[in-house]
Amino acid sequence: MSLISMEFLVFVVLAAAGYYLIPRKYQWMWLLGFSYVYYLSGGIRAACFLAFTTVTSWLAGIGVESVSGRISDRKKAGRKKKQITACALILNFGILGVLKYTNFAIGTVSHLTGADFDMMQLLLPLGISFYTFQSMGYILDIYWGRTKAEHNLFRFALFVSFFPQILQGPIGRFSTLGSQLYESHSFDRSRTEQAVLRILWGYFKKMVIADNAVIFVNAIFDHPDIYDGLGIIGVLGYSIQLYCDFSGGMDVVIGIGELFGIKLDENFRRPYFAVSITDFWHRWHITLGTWMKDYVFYPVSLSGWMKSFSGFARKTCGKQNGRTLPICLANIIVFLVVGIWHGAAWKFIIYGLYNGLIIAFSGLMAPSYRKWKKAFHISGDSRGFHLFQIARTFLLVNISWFFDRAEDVPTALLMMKNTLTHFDLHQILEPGIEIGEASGTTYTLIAIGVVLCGCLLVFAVSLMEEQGRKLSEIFERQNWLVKSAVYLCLILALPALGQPSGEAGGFIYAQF
Amino acid sequence: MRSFRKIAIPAAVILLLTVVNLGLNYALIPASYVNFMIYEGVSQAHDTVFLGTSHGLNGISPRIVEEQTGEKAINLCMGGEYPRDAYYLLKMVCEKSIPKTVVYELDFGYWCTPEGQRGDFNRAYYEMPWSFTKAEYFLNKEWKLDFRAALFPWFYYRGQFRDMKEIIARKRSPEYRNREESLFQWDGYGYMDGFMRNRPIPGEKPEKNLVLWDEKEKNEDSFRYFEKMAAFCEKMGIRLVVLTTPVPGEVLDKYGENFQEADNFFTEYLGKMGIDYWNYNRPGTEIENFDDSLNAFTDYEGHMSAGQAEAFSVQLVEDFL
Repeated sequence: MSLISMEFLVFVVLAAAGYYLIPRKYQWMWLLGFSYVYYLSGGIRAACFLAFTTVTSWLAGIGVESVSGRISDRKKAGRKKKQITACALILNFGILGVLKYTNFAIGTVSHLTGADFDMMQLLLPLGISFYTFQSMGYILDIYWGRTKAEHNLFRFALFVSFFPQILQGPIGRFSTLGSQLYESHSFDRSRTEQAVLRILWGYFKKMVIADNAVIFVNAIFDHPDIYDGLGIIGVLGYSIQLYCDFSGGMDVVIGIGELFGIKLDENFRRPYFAVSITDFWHRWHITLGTWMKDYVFYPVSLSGWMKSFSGFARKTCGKQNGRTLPICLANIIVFLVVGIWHGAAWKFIIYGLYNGLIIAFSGLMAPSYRKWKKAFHISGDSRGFHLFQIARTFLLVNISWFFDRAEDVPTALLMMKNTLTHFDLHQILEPGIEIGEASGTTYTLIAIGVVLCGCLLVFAVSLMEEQGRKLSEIFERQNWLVKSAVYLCLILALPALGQPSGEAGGFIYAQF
Repeated sequence: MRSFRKIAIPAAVILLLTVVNLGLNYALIPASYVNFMIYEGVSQAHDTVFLGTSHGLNGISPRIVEEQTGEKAINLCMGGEYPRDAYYLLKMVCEKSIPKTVVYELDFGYWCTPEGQRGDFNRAYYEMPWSFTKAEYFLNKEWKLDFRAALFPWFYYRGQFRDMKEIIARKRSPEYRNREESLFQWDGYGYMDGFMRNRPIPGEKPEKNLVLWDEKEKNEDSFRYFEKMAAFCEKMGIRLVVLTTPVPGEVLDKYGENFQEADNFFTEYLGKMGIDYWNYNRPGTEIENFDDSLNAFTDYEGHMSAGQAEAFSVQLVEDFL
C-alpha cells in the first residue's frame, strides 16, 4: 500500500477515526490490527518474515531477561545472555543479509571469476532493514540492561510493525516508543491540526519539490554521456530530491503518528545547515545515526581488540594520535556498515567509506585545525567562518551524492570529472529532458521554477527553525482564516505543481 | 456557538475545496471523444463490442462491421486500456444490454508492463456514469493509484492551463452537448464512425514506444482480469474472441522472433481457455486490400493510418463475425 495512494489515505482516516471511537484500553490492539492489515496488503510471504522477526526478538528479549533472574552465577548468566543475543542477531541479520546481499555477492563473484552465475529470485520484504534494526536494537537494549523486556507478544508485535514507520523509519527505541504505543490517547483538535499540516508539508516536499527535481536528476544521471555539462545541476538536483523525498516521507510518517498521539523520533534536523560531516550525520537520518552510534560505534570502540589497537597506537603514534586513531577506525567501520545498509553495491560501500574517512581525517586533523585557526586569527564564532563551514560541508556532502546516485563508481568519477572540466547550462533546455504530457523547454522552465520556489520555501522554514522559531507554534497562533488558507494552498499545490508519482517513483527510502 | 464553529470552519474549507476542484475539472479536462464512446456504450444495445488498446481504436471500424454483419457494433478500445479497464468497460456495457460477441484486441505490451496512470482509460473512468461497476472499478484501480488521480482528476491535465478558454468553449459548444463526432475531426481525419482515423505521417516513423513481449515481466493483473473477463463472458453467454492487429512488415522482419514467441505463448494460453485467437501477424496471413508496409502505419508499434482500418475490419468480419 503506497503512502501516496487513495487506499492509504482512507486507511489512515479509518484507523484514526476508529482509534478515538473505541474504548481506550483497546487502542493499541486497534493499531496492531491496522498495522498487520497494512503489512499484509504487501503479501502474506513478506508478513511471515515480519512475524518471524517479531517472535524471535520477543523470545530473545524474554530469554535474556529471565537468565538474570534464574541463574545466580553472574559469569554463567552473562554467557547465556550473550548466546541468546548472538543467536537472535545472527538469525535476523542473517535473514536480512541473505535477502538483501546474496545477489550482490553472486554478481561480485561472477565479475571476479568471469563466470556467469544466475541471480536468485529473492523476496525482499518491505521495510525489512528498518524493522530488523529496530528489533535488534530492542534485544541489545535488554542485553545491556537499558530496557525491560515486553512480555506480551502482541504488544511487542505492535512495536515492530507500527504501520506509519515500518516502511522507511524512523528507527524507534522501545524505551521511548513502546510506552507511547500502549498508553491510551484522547482526541486533541490542536494536535490533529498540527498533524495534518505536517502530513501536507511532507507531501508537498515529496510531490512538488522532489518529484519535479527527479526528472532532471534522472535525465542527467541516467545519461551522463549526453548531459555531460550538467553534472553539477544533477548533483544539486539530487541533494534537493533526496532531502525532500526522505524528509518529506518522514513528515508524513511523523504526522500520521501524531494523529494517534504518538510522537515518533525526528529523523532530520536541517542537515544542509551542518558545519561538518559529523554534524551532518547528527542531522541527517538521525535515528540510523544514533542506532549506529549505540549499537556499532560504542561496542566496537570498547571492544578488547580495539583497546589493544589503542595501546599499540599510543606506543607507535604518540599519546594524542593513539587516543584519536581508535575512534577514527571505529568511525570508518560504522560508516562502512552505513554504506552497506544503503544498498548492495560497491558504490554504496564507497559512499560509506568516503563519509567515514572524512570524519576520521577531521578527527586526526582537529589539533592542527585549532593551531591554524589561531595562527590566522580566525574566530570560530564569526558568521563568515560559520557560513564557510556550511558551504564546505555542503560541497563534501554533494561529492558523496555522486556515489550514492550514479549508476556505479566509474560513472560517479566520470561525472565528477566532467563537473570540473565541462559545464554547459544550455543542455538543460535540450530536448530529452522532457516532462510529463507537456514536453519541451517551456514546461521544463516551469518545473525548474517550481523546484526553485519550493526550495526557497523549505529554506525559509528551515532557517526559521534553525533560529529556534517553531513553525508549528507560529501556525498554532494564527486565526482560522490563515490556517484554512495554508491548508488549501498546500492541498491544491499537490496536484497543480506536483509530478505524477508513477513517473517519479515512490519514496526512495521505502525500498530499504 | 463554539462547537458550531468547530464544525462550520472545516466544512466551509472542504466546500470551498470541492468548488475549486470541480471548477478546475471543468476548465482543465479537455472535451474528449471518450465521452461519446461511453455515452454510446451505456445508452444503446450492441451485438458486438470491441475492447482493447489504441491499436484497436485505430484499426477497427465499427461502422464497417455493422455494414458487413447488419448488427450493431461499438469500438471501446482506448490508448492505455489494460485488461482490467476492458473488464470494467464490458461490465458497464452489460448494464444496458448483453452483447452477442466481445472482441478483445490483444497488444502483448500491455501484458508485460505495469499499468500507467494516464491515457484515455483514465477518461473512461471519469466519463463513466455512476453505478456499482464504476464503484468496483474505483476500488480495484483508482483506489491503488496516486490519491491525486482520484481526488483531483484535473491533475493529469494541469499542463493545459493555457488552453482553459478553448476547453471551456468546446465543452459548452452545441456539438459537444449533442455528441457530434465532427468536433474531433480535422480534414477528414480524427474520430469518426466510432473509431480513430489516423492522419498518415510522412517520413521516418517513431520506434521508441514499441514494447516487445517479455514473459519474465508478465503483468499478473492483466492475466487475472482477462480471466475474469472470460469468466464473465461465459457466465453471460457472450462469445469471446481475441485478436492481434497487424503490425508493419518491417517490424516483423526486425522482431519476428519476439512476435513468434508471443504468438506461441498466447496461442497456448488462450487455447487452454478455449478462446479463439486471431493473430494477424502470423506468417502467411493475408488481408485483402491491406498495405502492411511501414508507410501505411503511423509508427513501429502498428497504429494504422486512415484507410487501413476499413480493409482490416472487412477481413475480421469475414474471419470470425
